Amino acid sequence: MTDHVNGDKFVVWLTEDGLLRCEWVDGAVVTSADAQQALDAHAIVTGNVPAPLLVDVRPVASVERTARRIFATAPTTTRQGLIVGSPLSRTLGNFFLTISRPTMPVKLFDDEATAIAWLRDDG
Amino acid sequence: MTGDDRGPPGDDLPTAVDERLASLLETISAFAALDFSRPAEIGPAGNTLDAVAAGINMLGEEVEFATHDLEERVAERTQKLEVITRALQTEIDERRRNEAAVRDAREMLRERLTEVEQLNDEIMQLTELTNLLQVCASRKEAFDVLAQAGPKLFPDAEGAVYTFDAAHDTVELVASWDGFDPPAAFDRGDCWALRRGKLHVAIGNGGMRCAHTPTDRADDQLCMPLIAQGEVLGLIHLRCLSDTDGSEGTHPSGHERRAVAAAVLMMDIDRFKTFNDTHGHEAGDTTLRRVAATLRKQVRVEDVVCRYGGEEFIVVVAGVDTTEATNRAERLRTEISNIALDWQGQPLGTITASFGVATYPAHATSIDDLIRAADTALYDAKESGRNRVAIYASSSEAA
Repeated sequence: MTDHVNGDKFVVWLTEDGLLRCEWVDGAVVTSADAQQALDAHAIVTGNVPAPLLVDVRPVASVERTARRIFATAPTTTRQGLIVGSPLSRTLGNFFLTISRPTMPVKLFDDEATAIAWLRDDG
Repeated sequence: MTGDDRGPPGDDLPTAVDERLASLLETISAFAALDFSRPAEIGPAGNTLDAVAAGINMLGEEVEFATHDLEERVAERTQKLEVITRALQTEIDERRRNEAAVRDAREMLRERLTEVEQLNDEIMQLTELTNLLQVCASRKEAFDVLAQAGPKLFPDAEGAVYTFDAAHDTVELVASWDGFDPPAAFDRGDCWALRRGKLHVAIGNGGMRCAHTPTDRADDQLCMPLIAQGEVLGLIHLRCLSDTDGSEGTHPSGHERRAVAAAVLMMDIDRFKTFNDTHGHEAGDTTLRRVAATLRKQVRVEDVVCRYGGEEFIVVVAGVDTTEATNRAERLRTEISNIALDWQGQPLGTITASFGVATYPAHATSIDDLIRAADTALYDAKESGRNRVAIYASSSEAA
């Protein structure tokens, strides 16, 4: 099983404790093709077993509507923690939560540690 | 601001923030006009203005998608509604045609029943007159019977009965009705009917009027010789009443109707909708024509067959009681179930029909009530399992 996948605008890997991670390149404009490529990468690294996902949204410049729909219904993730920092990334995160209405639990975080703690919490 | 409050030269020029704000406002205005072709610019800093720009762009995307989605759904619904509307209009048009056909059928039934009633009534009156005449003991008695029967047989005419005297040269008045004031006697030569030995009619002022009739009137006159065993015994003289004639007399406005038997058989093809859905409407129409032809072939000339609507037919049978009407319905039911149906060379199997029977005057005394009764009986036939004949029972309506 491959432990990481490099996409056109991202890299996806699975940590030793089963946490799925995704980082986007700086200034990424995420299209629907990018979103589908990312989901395919999730499936590859997890062996098609859904896993909690940590995404650093801070480098992302924008996410197309169709890409947001793909992420909101991703079958590859059990829950998603989004790291936001700038006003732009926070706006992207809030829009994803309220408008795209993801089908799994999603939460915004200011720091990685808090996000990882939430993702690992099964309770 | 006073001049001292102003900053160094150049502060009056729009700042980068103002430019960005102005650009955002332009984007918002364009989005408000549903023009999503110019999204707001998002800078690399990711600051508040960039966040606002991103938010505006994403909102614009949602509105654009919702607008297109709504337009597509409206177009799809509109198309479906148009199809439904056309289908409904077709059904409405067909219903109107059926309703018109039903009205025509009812009117025809009403007229036919009236004709049947009148004909039977006249036959019974003539039969009764004949029976009375046959037992009359004298000529006087017979002429009295004629005088009594005259108003009923000729309701729109005044009349008189004459008989020859012993010399057979003169006819003498023996009876009259409806206030008729004819001459008490006249010579044989004064009447064309007596001279020719056959019926003579004078219409208005035209034709040859008899000398014994008034010449100052233009009414229609009829002279009919009374002949028995080849011998002319006398004359019946009728003067047909017109609208301008003041002497309307006391002729009856309509003689008493006798109860005349007639039956309405209401027929409905069983499960015809399923047949249509299975084989198509063209096959269904052909089947309806076959059924109509079968019905017409099986009834008498004087009976009436008409389509009552959809897959319903009405058969009016004159002069039958309930038992005979039921037997006829049963024969028709059997004939219909024996029709071997086919369409464009393909066999379609057979069909059955249910019948409701109601008779006049046993079950109803008006055409509307009679049809309603037959319809109720038909309903009973359907409820009892179809492919059968049911006779109207008044308890069915109460149930």
